[in-house]
Amino acid sequence: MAAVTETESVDKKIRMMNSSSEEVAVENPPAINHMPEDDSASAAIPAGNSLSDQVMAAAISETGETGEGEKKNLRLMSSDGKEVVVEAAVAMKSQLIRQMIEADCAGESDVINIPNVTAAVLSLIFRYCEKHLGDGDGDKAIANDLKSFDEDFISVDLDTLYDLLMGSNYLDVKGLLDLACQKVADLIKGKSPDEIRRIFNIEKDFSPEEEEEVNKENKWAFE
Amino acid sequence: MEKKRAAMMETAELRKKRAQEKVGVHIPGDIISEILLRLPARILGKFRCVSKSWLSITTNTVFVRANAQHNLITRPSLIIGDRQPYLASANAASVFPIRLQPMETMSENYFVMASCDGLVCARSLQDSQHFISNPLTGQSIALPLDNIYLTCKLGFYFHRSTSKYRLIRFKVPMTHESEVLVVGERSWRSIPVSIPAFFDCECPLELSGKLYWLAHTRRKIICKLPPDIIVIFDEEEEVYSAICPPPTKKLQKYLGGNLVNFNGELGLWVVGLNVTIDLWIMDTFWIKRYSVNYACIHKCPSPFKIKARSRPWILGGAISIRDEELLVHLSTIIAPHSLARWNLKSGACVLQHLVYKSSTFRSTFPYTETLTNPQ
Repeated sequence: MAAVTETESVDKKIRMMNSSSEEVAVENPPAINHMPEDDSASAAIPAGNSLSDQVMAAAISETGETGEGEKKNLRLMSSDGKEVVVEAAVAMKSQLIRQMIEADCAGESDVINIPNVTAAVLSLIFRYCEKHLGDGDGDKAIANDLKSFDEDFISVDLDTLYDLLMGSNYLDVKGLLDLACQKVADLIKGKSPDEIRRIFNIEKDFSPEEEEEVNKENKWAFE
Repeated sequence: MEKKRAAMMETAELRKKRAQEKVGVHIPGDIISEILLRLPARILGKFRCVSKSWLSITTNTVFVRANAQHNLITRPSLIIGDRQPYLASANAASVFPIRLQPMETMSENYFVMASCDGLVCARSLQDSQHFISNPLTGQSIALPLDNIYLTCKLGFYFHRSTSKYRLIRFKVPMTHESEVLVVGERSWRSIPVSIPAFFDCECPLELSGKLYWLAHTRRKIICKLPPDIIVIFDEEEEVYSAICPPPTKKLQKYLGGNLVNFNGELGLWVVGLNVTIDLWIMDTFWIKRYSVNYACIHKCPSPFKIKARSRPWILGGAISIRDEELLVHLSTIIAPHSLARWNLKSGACVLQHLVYKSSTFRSTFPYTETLTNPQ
């Protein structure tokens, strides 16, 4: 399994080290710790299954721990079979992961399974978490630059918005869930019921007479 | 016949299954609730016909209350309880009359007594009928008739453990008696009051399961009581207590200030000494957190030609908006009725002049459009 990493130079280092399983010469542990800003980087890395890859990945993350001293990494297995390495502090913004760690469900070098979220969405979510590390528990983004980051972050297409919605709900990242829900609410505010049904793929289970009756009872909404 | 019907049902099921298989997006109900929670009530009314599940979500009482709480914070307004009540919205450019009337009465003039979660409790001036109504949906419920209301101050709150709305009333000057009514029931239940007597009080504030009134005790200092106290009624325990307001110079009746919910904390805004309005926050002790110079009001453009450096005569209404802003209904000589939106950090003030006929002192109440059913 290949770890999701950021820069190409680190990629090269990994490939070079394939031949010697014991020798580990990692020059930039922080590069491995950080989540990729560009999702295409994760796509470029081939998902290998060789044993040497696994050993090497384990070795890298271990050195990452000792190299940095205090920063600890967590390894997560996404739904599409990719391993995602992330700083523990960032990952703990997810209450689900935090509870698993605090309840000691995952040991130090165990891989945490996240069966509902793909690697791409995971890295997006952790990008949000990293930016919001400074917030208190459940605090809203107060600073203006965080607000503009949030606005840009959530301005995505519907499919990604849906992924973020479901992912942040599963991982229990409250700030992101609030942001995504608010965005969807803003999107549907001016839509007609038919358009809503199309967006959410909701089947119309009212007969025309029943629908008219509901609208009649709520006629104040149309005034 | 049976076979045919069974066959029809089967194809309907298959059709449904096939339709669902096409579905790529299926958002679970609890997330839908979270999304709908953030919409204004009027839009939710339009969306009730989307599906049976959406109808059931938007009529569920827990959802309706959560939606009301959210809208009170994000889309706040003030009702100015005049003979013809007006709605002053924080975001709208003008103020307009609000229709309160329930279906039964045809009267035009009301005296608003209390508000809670988008419900308004008022007395119809034509026939002295008391009622609670939701001005948006038109739903209303009559209150039991008696004469006591006329000399009373009211509190209106949501009683959490029984999930019902309740009214509390006591006479002013305080007679150590008070009564509670569960909305929908017929009789008031008596509750003794065991705090020092006071002769008048301002509009109450409901916060975290308690009702707060800024009360004025007698002008003569009796038993070393402070001239003003804050009366607290615990909704669950149904007991009264009192605390001291912050050590400001004088909270004179009609001229002082009132309590306000400032981002979930108990606050008190009061006209201070040096042309300022101060906002005190209760955090174990009273702390003066903001002080805005209201001389800036005189710089705001006014349609009235009189210029005078008078203190604002602030009517009893202020609500807080998130992000350190305060919305105050005030009255000055240069502007008989204005809505001031104060940014407490920068001190900037945007004044909105409300032109309407009355110039009498009336109370203001926080309000937003909600789906709450008074029954």
